[in-house]
Amino acid sequence: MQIKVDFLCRDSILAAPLVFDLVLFADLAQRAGLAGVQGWLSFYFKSPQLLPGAHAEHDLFIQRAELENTLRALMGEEARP
Amino acid sequence: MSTIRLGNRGEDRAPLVRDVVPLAGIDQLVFGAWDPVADTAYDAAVRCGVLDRLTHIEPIAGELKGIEPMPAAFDQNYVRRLDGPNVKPGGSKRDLAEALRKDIREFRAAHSCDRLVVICCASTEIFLEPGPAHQDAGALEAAIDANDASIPPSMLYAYAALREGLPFINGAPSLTIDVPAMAELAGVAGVPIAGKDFKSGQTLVKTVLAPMLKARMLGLRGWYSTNILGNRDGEVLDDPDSSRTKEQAKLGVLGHMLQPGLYPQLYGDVHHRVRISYYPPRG
Repeated sequence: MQIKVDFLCRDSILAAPLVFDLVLFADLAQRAGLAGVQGWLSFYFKSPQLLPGAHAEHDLFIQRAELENTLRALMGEEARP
Repeated sequence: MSTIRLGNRGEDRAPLVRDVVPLAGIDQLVFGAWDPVADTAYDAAVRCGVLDRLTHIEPIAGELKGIEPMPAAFDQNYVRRLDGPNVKPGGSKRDLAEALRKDIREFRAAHSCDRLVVICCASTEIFLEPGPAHQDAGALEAAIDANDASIPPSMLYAYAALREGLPFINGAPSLTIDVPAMAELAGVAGVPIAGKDFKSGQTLVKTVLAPMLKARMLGLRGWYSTNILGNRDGEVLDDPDSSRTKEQAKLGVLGHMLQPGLYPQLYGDVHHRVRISYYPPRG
């Protein structure tokens, strides 16, 4: 079995929305009193920076669930799978 | 633009993220930058040719022309294939760090900003490993004072941001804030940090496909990835010490997702190759 992906793209167009999301979420995190390494933003990174001892998560969908559950916690809602 | 589901699936509650958490509005943002290349945002956008000039760039030409980069704290020893005239005069690392802090304060005053965030979208620096200078805040301060070679420019920007109480995001694969000293500074200052290396292209695809293979317990013999790029990013990565930094960031993901320790028969012997080629015709 073989899978081939030819992903022809303009990297700066793919990166620009990440810049916006990260700036807005970093600002939100600061106002919410979240200091230090923000593992819940792993969704945006190839090589997520973590607190010592934490497990790196790369699966995009698990990363998205962590991001959304952090947002739910910030708004006082229950975590969802 | 994204929505978020609240409550159970049947409840049909999926408001926009920006309607449920208090995000700043896009129209409330102002932009500034440091760049060793002196082009305004308008000049850079026209020259790079990523966006269509008539459709995308000219309608906002006024705003773009107003974004003039501040002189960069730049050192070619850390990014060998890049050069530019818009740099701060050579001084000690402490002088550069203080100059960056002054830039931040002046930008804040000039634009009457309530809050600021610093995000690094710079070229990849040479490969550096965490050393004694990066272990705690005191060692970092001493290394900046001593002009220590283990402090690249990206760390001076991060240091300046954290000391000014600003969140710092690292979109590049460089070491920058991925060291205990920076986490300590962020904790003391009460500011968030996150990194590293934007997952925008090849790795984005990889971190979607690999979970698919694993969910079906399909084994894997090899994964060959090649990146062909001809823009300035590619030019910088043509230096082996910079591409090593990038390749390290790209290589880790498969092992973490596939868990070869748990599934040695399926993923115990995967040949994962990552190559980066600079090819100017694909700019």
